Amino acid sequence: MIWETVIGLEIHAELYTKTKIFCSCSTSFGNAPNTQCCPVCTAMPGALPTLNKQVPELALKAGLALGCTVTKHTKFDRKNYFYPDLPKAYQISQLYAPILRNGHLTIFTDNSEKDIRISEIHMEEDAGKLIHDNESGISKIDYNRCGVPLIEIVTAPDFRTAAEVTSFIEELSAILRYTNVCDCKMQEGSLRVDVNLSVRPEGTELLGTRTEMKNLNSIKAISRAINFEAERQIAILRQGGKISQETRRWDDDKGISTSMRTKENANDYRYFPEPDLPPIVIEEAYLSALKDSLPELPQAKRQRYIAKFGLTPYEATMISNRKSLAEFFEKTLALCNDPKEVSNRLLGDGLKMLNETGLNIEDSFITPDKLALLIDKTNKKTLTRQQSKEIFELCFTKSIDIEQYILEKGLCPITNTDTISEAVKNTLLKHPDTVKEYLSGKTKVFGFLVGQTMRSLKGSADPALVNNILKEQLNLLQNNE
Amino acid sequence: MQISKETVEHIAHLAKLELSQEEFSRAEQALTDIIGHAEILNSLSSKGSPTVSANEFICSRQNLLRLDTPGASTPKEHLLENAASHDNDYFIVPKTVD
Amino acid sequence: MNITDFSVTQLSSMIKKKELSVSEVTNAVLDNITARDKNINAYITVAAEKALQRSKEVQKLLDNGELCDSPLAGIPVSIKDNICTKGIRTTCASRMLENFIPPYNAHATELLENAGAIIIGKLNMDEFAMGSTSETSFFGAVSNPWNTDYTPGGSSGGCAAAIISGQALLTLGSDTGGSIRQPASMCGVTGFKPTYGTVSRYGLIAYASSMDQIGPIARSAEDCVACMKVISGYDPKDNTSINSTLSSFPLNKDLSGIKIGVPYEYFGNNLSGEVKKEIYTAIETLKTLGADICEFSFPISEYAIAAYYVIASAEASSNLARYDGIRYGHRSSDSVSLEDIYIKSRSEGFGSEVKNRIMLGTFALSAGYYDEYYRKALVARDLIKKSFDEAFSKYDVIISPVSPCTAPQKGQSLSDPMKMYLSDAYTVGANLAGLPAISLPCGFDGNGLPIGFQLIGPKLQDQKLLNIGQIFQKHTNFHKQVPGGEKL
Repeated sequence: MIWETVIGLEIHAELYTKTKIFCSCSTSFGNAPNTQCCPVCTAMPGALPTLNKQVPELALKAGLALGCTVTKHTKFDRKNYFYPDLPKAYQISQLYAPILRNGHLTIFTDNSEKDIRISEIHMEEDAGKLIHDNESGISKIDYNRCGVPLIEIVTAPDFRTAAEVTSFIEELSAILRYTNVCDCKMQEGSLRVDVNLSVRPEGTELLGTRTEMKNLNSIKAISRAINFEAERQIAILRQGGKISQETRRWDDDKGISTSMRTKENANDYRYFPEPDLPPIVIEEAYLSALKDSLPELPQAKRQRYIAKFGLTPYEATMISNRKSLAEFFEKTLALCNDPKEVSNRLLGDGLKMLNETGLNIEDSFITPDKLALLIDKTNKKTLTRQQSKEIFELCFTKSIDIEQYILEKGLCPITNTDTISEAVKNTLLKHPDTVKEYLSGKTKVFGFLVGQTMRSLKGSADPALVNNILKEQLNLLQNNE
Repeated sequence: MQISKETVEHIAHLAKLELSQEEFSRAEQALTDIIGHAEILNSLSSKGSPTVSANEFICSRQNLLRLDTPGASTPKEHLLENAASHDNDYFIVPKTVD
Repeated sequence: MNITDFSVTQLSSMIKKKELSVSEVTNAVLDNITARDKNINAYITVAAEKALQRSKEVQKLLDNGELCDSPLAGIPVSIKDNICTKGIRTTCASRMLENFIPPYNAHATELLENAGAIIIGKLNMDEFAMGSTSETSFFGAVSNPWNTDYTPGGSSGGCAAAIISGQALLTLGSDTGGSIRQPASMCGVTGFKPTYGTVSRYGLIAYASSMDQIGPIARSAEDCVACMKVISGYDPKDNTSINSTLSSFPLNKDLSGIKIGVPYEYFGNNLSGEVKKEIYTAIETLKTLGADICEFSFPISEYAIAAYYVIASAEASSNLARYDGIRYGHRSSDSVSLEDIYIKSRSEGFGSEVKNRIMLGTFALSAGYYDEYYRKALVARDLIKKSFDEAFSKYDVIISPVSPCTAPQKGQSLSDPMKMYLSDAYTVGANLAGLPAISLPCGFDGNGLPIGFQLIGPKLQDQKLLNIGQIFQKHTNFHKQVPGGEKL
């Protein structure tokens, strides 16, 4: 029997705001515990929530970019349950009237396209962080993260493979970054993916019992977890067993998922509409303005790069996935019309430097006009490829005036025949034995003499000229003998 | 409608409450009485009524939005000082079972 | 005449004219508390030192010419113990918050302090504002100063008792289903519940979010006005608050042109004969003052009590879930696991009435019952609001009793909770519809216990109600009576 894996995703994305969703505490990451809190986000008696304007705005931007329908009259609801990271013992979320519904995202795997349906996007607040200390048997609670705004993106169970899921997450991340909705750093927890997975015999319609997997901290982990869980479920069903509907925790080190102790009777959340927050009514004019403010999205950009600039799909994807890189690319092209060259530079040395330094391109010192200048000089041969590569790399971490640098370092490929003649002469004087060898017929030492000459000219001489002049001088010597 | 023992137990469990025997029987009675009285609501239909918050009819506010500008947080000591167990940085509870 | 016999308005003027110092007034109130509270138990916390310190500061400000526009500069105010006061213990009369000291003020507290009012202390109440007799307090029941065998009503019993016994000149109470108006009527003082949203709920420890309101309990409608001027207004920290600041308004000479609706059904057999008699007398008084009295049919919505208790308890069950012993509040010393902390702390921390209402609310919201009870309660609420709207299209205000009877004896009510709930029938309507309502003294029963009547107004017509109250009190003396038979 052939089995089919059916996957749906619940993705939580932390919105890129300065303050929390319901209070003015800062959302910046990585600060000392409980230093970004107030009576509202720690649920002290009498505290009340107030909605951050940026939250519905960013949620709408994401939804518009994903083709969603907007719920014009959207409201909040309370989801009630007890857990120490949830100080109010309810999470303010949206159940009855989520802000966005019915969107979709096209993914590209191998050579096929697939449309993934997005059931809904809603706003909610994040919980605090628990730090477990096994030795002393206590858990420590930090509420800094409590109240950070989230959108939850729920997909339909349209995925069938891990590759599809990976592709979706990458596309979604690119879109969320482009629209400045979320920085999508899975390792920092600003993007969290829960996987709902079930299996069924291929060709059947009925969905199998699904499990939910959490603690998937990287794209690779997601991939591994999907493959593991699908196999696990298939194995059980093959033996005639049943899948328990449960939440499982993925352990990436061990490569297995384990059942999380089910929160007994946890599922009666007793949702009811939040009385402390009035509804949000979204006007058409506001929505239009928001739509207009959306940048050209990654998928559109990708098509344009392939069609207009002749980039390969891979190149187009690599550049368009990062908005700042795409902007840099386009700005450089405006100055230097060589898309392939610009693309090669950015995807080669460019990405290498960004990875090494950990910088974003907009935070480095390299600018489009500098890259354009370097490419121009290389094409005109006033810099060698090697030289322009070195300067390019330096430009990431230092603010360099390229013309100045070239002058200071004497980098102009030396074409002055007198200078070269002088250098050749000196080399020959320095290495009389090698010259003797050459003159006696050992022509392979020619390379050594070229090398020595180039070195003395700091590698910036035109190699062809050096070759010629060296040959000339050696011939002269030969004739003199 | 008589509220059964099981229902009272279930609700107490959901609400994280433990009742003494006396409290339990009084609760059973009180709940039965008030729910019995609330049966009067049965003659109303909630079909097709929009899901509104309890004060949406009496509170005409909408679109109250706060600017995304950070304000001062409460000093950590003030947040911790009412807690039964803390270590000057974190609130402390017995280890949770995940 | 004693300092504490003067009205807030009179004292405010005397202080500004330097006929009295702020400390003198504060000390007068503190002295009365020391002398009288043993038998009444109106106070949970008296912040004497802080009050005297603040008195000196406010005196300085006044001497420098500041606070001249404040109607409450130098006036001692006492606050119901479910309203947060920074640095002063705020307990909700519960073991759960027995030692809780908020590091922040409620918005209303902040406004009072900025206006130069002197916070005297925190007043006793029913635990978490759930009750009608102030007997469920962890700190002991409050007694009615008219007869200490009787309750003062609830849940703001401490406020009403403190005012009538001269232990407070002005108090802030809270009203979710009648908790300002009912104790005011049972203690012979004036209580005002504003239009929902008029006073910020930030820092009011939540019971039912969609109905809670802070309001004054004082000796007169005039004193209530002084309070409302300071505490009302939009607060950005409370997204249900509105801008309806009371500015000074013209005081009509009499009530000609005012149409008062008298619902037939409110004066049926459920109402005690003595209460009925005094309220009818009050209606006659209003008539002689020029008001147009019109009887009309306004069925006490049979749904009102059910809707109130379902909605209030549902919201309460959620609002009280945060009391878990983790960040503040009572933590059981008997707890080992996390589950213990939750269950034991909450079970030890809450009294039975609170537990019962949490369970009622949990039930109403639980799977399978949500549509049947909660959603239908909201439908009922809408209907009740609409029937008030219709009545107000014809009448300026509606008059009604506050309670079917006078103050119950101690120990009587808690054994019959259903009867106690049903006695809220006259007051819950205003909370469900978010309307302003005032309770004014109008007589006594055969045992010398006070009787009050209620005026309910349309949304945002707070000024009109307070206005009518002031005019009524200009022509009557009930609000001047105090226990011991002395007329002020």
